[in-house]
Amino acid sequence: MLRRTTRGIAGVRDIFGRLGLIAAAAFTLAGCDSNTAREIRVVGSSTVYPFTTAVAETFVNQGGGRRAPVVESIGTGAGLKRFCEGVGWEFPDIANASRRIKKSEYQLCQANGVGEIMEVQIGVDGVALAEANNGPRLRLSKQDVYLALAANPLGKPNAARTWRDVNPSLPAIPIQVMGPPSTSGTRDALVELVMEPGCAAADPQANALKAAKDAAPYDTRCKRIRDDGPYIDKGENDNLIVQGLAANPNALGVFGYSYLEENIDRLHGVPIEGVTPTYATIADGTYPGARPLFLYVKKRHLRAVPGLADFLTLYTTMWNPKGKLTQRGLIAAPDALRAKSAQIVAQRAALDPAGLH
Amino acid sequence: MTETPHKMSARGVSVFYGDKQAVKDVSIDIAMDKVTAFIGPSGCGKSTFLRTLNRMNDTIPSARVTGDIMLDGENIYSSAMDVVQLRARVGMVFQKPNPFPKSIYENVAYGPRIHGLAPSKPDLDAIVERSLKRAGLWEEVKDRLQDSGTALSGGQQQRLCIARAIAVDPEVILMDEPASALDPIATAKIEELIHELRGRYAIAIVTHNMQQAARVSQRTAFFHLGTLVEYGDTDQIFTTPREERTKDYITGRYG
Amino acid sequence: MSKSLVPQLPTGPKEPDAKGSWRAPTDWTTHAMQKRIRRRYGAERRFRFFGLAAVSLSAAFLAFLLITMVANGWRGFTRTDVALPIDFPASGMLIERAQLRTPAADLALAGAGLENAVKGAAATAFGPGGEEFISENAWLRIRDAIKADPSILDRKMRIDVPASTEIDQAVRGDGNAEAKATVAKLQQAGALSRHFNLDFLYESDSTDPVAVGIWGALKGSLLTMAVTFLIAFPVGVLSAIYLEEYAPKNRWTDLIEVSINNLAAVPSIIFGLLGLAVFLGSWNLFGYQFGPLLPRSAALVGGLTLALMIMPVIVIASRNAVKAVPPSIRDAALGIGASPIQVVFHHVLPLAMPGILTGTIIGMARALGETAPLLLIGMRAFIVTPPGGFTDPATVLPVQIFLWSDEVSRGFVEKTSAAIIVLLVFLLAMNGLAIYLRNKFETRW
Repeated sequence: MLRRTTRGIAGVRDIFGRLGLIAAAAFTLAGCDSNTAREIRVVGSSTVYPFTTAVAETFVNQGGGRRAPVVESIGTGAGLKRFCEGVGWEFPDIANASRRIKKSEYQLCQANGVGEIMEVQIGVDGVALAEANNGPRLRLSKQDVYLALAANPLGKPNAARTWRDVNPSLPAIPIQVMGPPSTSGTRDALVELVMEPGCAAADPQANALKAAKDAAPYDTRCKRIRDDGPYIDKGENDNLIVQGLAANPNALGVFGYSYLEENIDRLHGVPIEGVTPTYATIADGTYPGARPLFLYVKKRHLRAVPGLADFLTLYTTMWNPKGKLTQRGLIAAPDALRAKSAQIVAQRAALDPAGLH
Repeated sequence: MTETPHKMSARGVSVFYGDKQAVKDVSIDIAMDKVTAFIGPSGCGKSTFLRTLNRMNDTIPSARVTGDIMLDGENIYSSAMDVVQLRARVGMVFQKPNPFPKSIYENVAYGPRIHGLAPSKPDLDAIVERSLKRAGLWEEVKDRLQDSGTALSGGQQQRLCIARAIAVDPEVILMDEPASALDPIATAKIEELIHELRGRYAIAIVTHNMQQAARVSQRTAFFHLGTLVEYGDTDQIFTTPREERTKDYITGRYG
Repeated sequence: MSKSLVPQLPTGPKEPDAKGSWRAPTDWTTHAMQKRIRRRYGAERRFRFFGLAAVSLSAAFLAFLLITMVANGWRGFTRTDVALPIDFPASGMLIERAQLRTPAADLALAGAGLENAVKGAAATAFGPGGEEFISENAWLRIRDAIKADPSILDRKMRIDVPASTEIDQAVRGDGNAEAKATVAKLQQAGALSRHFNLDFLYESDSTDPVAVGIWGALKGSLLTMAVTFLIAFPVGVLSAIYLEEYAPKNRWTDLIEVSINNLAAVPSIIFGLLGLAVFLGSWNLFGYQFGPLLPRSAALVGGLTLALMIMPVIVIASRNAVKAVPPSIRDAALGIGASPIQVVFHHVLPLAMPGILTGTIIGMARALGETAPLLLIGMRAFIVTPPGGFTDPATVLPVQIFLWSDEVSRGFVEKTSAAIIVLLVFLLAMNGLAIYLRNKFETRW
């Protein structure tokens, strides 16, 4: 007989009920979606990022209702680590890399059951040292760079503060080099292509140390970059380095060639061993800082992720010297190398780990 | 004087706030058709004891009540008693008028609505009108029921609170110094209202105004320092009190 | 009734105390008093001045921020277009008209070589190298025009397409000599036009700064905010109500209160790590592999992480608002037999709502601008299409700004400022909505 005519409480209970349903539905859908087809996922190098994103955009614009690939720029090292964490829907399909995969990384991949991977070289990039157009016009050798930037050149802490301390023929301006952090593949390339040969040239013990079982002394002398001031870690944002050079004409910047090309009206490349970084010198390898750019692909994902094979095929059509990626700053690999890479994609050839180190 | 049945009875009631004892061993009866007044100096425990009658002390974490209080023979502190329904049966009007910040209509309608006393809107309207009439407020507000309850004058607000308490059709109404915050005219109106309500509800009123107690009540209880000193017919208490302390209080020696 | 013993009020004034005489009245007109008055007036004036100065300083900072952002970013809402003459019949494209009305139209047009045809038309119109003048995505504009009106395929048309970034920059006066010469040439031919366009608000992320838009990130922000609100608000408010109204006051509740206060001060990146571990991590439990609960970069994960972050703020603000409700209201409600739940939801909560909403506004505004925790859970990717639902990969406005600021192409600089404007407008809109709701609650009761 006594009917409840309360309004407020019923209203609140209603809202909670609906919220609960929404939450349950969302979680169920989340579980559902992830185990069925999903979008292509790419992680890795910030140098390869502009090219992979261009391909991703073209991929979607071709139509057919394709899901947009998700491309993250976290650095080559971090990218390969995430790539090798395992195989499955929650792991990336492709890793962008601005250097070759290391043996230890490959072993990590195998330990986590990733299986066979494809190594596809998409082109070439150059690690460029740049200065502002009104800068001191330095001309450096690899040894100069090594002696200026190493933490322990020739086994002793680095005491050089000006370029003249490093090489008497250089002007007496303070050493100021702005570059990327240690997670960056660009920095790895600087170390591998410029610092290490410079160490070999300057230090008679370098080769012996390199061949030794314990890599630590070699790393300390030849590969570590100083952190006492002259080398300034500017973070992953290369635009900050560009701005920094405009503000400080005596400084040098380290970044990939594409940033140099984009800002060629304000900056110019510093010649290393007499070779200035240009498209031609990087393409034919005469510039010492030339390095290959790679994609690493999990073969096991080729079947599971729809469109992954098409994506790679699209990449092969865009990396020619007259292709779209060149317009974005990619330096095309030599013809023979390109053909070989295209063949790897077409035949899904797996990487042979024998050549890695 | 004939003995009318007692609506509420308290036996050996003590109230503790933590370790401090505010009410000591009080036994008293509230008669069905009479107004019972609790008088005494400030801090003597009369308000505290009043609040035990509808278990409002439950809201204070450190409060502890011992003893028995019966409503129609049922112990209100037993676990079988639903506090919410108890408070509908034993209503309360507070010292400072505290209407809800809602419309006048909503203020009065809230109680019947939450207790499910009005199955339809016309029933609810009827209850509201009846309650406001009994509280003597209907003529003044019948044209502005949607106005906010807090926009009324002090006296009107208190009558609104009384209407609100009446709307749930209680059996007992407890009033804690209902007119102490009001001016003399409003006070007179409240006292008149108590007269009119007397037959329908058992009323217990706490007051520090002895003339008011003398005017409105038929039974008076005098509290002092937490104990019930004397309890009897109002006439007798105010003319020939038995206890010395009662006499001292009434003649103004203290308090 | 015999005469009451209650005494009547005494009449007449009291006599002065036998002990002391009356105290002499204070002389308020002495020099010392005047000086006090002047000092007091001075202090009041100075205080008013400092208050005004503080407000003016804050307003000046705000004005500076807004003006700088608008000055840098309004150009992001403009676009340079090139009028492209294109002769469809002569282009040699083979397109089946019937296919244009089906969902396969995009594939058909791409397959028929529309992109190359557009580039060829540009080369014909502007000479060799002419295809550099139009944006790479210009052919998409032509594609949309064809889909809208297939009959144009029989005609020669002059269609406005977006210019390339170099031309766009040169028009603004920022580019190399070659580009500026081209611009002069095109302007003479009447082929260039600049206008305000709102495509920036509809398009999604792109590698071409001319074609880029904020809609993908905006939708991601909307979805993330929705999830954050739907989780943080009820949980936060209910926690506050429980702690204030129901929980016993003992050592445990004190500990909870201290913990919540500390949580409100934890840096946001810690919540990112928490979200990464809980929602995206996988564990081995009893030999069974519990995989990630949710997909990476999803708005749902971002929303949950941010909800964890702002919940303490909402709890603290709600507790204070509930505490501020006068006990007389509660007593009144209890007195007529309202149950504890009814007291809370019918009386306390409506009165506390303005304070609760204020706390929610503060929390949500903080969540909207958060970047660091979202970077950790992967909402930092390049995604060309806007998210379809809560589990699709998405990005949010502040992260999009961060990503664009790192882009190589210079055209992204003003797009970044334009995105900041959009973020500020979104923030203002959200605050405005919350303040409106708060006022509505305040007047209703």
